[in-house]
Amino acid sequence: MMFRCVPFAMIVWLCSAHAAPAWSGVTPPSVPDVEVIDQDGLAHRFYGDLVKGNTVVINFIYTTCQSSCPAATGLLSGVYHRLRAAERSVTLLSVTIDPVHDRAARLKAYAAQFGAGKGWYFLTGASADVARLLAALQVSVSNKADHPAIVVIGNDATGTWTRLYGEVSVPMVMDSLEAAAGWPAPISSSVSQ
Amino acid sequence: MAHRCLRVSRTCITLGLFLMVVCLARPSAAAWIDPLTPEERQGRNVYHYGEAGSTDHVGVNLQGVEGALPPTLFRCAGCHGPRGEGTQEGGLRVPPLTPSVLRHAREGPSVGRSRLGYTDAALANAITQGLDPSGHALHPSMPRYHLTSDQVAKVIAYLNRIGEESDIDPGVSADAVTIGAALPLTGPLAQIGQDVAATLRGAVRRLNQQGGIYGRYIELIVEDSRGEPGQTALAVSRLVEIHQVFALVGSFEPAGEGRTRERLAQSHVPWIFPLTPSPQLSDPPNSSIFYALPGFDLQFRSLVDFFVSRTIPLTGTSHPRLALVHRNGPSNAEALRGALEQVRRHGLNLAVNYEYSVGRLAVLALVAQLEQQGVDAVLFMGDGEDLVSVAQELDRRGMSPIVLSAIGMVGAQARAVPSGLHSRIFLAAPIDLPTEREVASLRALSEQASLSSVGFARLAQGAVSLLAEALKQAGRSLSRQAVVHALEGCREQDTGAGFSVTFGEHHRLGRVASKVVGLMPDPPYVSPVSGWMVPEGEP
Repeated sequence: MMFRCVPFAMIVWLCSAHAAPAWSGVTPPSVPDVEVIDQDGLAHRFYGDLVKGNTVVINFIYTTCQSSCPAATGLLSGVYHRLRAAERSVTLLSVTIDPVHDRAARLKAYAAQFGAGKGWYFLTGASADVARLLAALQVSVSNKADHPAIVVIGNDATGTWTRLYGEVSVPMVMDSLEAAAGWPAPISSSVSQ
Repeated sequence: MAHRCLRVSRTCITLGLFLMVVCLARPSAAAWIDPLTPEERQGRNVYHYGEAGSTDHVGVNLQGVEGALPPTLFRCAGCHGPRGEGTQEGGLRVPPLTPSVLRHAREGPSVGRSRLGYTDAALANAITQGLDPSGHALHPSMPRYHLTSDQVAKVIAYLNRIGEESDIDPGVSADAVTIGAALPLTGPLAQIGQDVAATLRGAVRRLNQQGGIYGRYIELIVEDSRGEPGQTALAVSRLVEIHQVFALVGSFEPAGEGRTRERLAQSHVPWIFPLTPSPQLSDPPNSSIFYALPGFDLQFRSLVDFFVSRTIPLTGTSHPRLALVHRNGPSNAEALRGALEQVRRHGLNLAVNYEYSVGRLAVLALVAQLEQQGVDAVLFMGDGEDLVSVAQELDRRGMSPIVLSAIGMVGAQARAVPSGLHSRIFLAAPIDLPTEREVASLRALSEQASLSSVGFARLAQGAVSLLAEALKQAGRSLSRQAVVHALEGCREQDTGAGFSVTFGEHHRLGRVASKVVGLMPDPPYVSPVSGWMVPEGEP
């Protein structure tokens, strides 16, 4: 009974020691159009304003997390700086899984520590809305500290979606982005590490 | 060998002389002797806090991202654990760093990738290049740190001691924990400071008479803050940097003093119950400072809620006209902010907004304005003397508006308002007033015939009692982080000083609710007219 409660995504994640793309090329269940608040306190429709027609990278964090979130956000910071250097238009979305405590001001302070600027949103919202978002993106959060380190990469225009788990590196995200965005020339190799 | 013994004994004699001098100068002073070498201690600071001292910067390179990342977020202890035990969070499994694990080869698929045991050179490579002893890249979440070779050597020296009994925070030894308080022992607030110091000493003495905590005695060091912001910062820095105290209890924190807090945030020193009417709460909170009672902002919000809940019985109208009377100053600014927030929340009608400076209260003009505007209630933010002047003029003119203020602002002087107005005055109180028995027991504890500030003495008593509880919770293997964690776990924790506190991971204010009390002509002069009220809008 316990086993049946574990979502399929969790099983994939538990079985993967190293980073592995899952549901590659599969359109995820529709991204909900819930209202979210960014680090500047501005409200957005998650799908309508941030995802629709865009190439996006989504991860999940909370600001009081000690180890995995700084690492996961640091990873996105690497991606962000590579994208800016290559002048690629990709939207980065870091969604808090602790919306009650991570309000806009706290997210802003956190975002600033990672050099986040235009095109990188740190998002909070009503607990129920954030829960819907996590469910739709198949991120299982039984408790904060156990949230899986997942990066979701998607191109809404083409419906190409990928999830990365485990030992994710900047080049891996860049490769997935290349595939999702259908960029003509590979950029992961054109920018030296 | 004989030579070494001689040197040791000479050191002991010198140390003994030094201690004698210190003891003569400051009877309560105790010297904490660091079991780690200075190099190991500095390595420990890099490991735990991502800080290599006040001048040297620790650089972090994560997956090629340079420069921008804050070392405090990527401190070693965050992932590898405060005792190098390794952690697991968010699907990230971080290996332990204790010598028994690091120095030995790891083999077989059950423990992940095989590798050789770490030598010092291999450890330096891991820290600065992100490579294991076999030359494989470490997990991408392991940053590469930019440290000088000297700093790397210090971190490695510390890693040889990590998790040992000697791997302890400052102020802790096998048989003692040293704590400190910065109090105004001289200057205009000296009497209060002396009383608080006496209370702290009494509470610590009682704790030690009961055998201390896990066989450790508590040693208290008091430094003179002279009641000035600059001197308070200096006193705190003497406590933390020279005396190496483990924690602060019931220390003074003058309003508007940010430097003291910053210094403590850097040193991660737990501070239980700063003595202040204005808790300086930030978001995210300063993790090591635990305040006891709500400031004037929360008190005035509760007060406005109380007024709104009784508008008609108190004023005879459902649309009362309000006046704000406030003396400018930092703690009143907070009260003003809280009051205005709640006035807006309830859509109250603010007819008069009167601000004045110390000694510049124009009583006649003010009361004339209140009369002219037909004010039903006054939110008063000034001292007791000003309140009495205003009340006397109101009484002379036969006016009796409701007057709302805080007991912590107007104090015992409020009793001097004309008796005809007693039933019209309501004061917010963040704590139950002490019973006569409680006052008597505080006097006995502090061995003082009278106490100039019973409120501060209670906070001091509560601070020591809460520290004792946190030390018990934290266990014999003591660390500042364990104490902070234990304090975060307090739920309606009795402080033994007539009030209880609740903290949490995100909560650094022990109490949020206030009571409202009314004035009475006879002892005990005040009587509660409401239960505990959490201001509307607070979670």
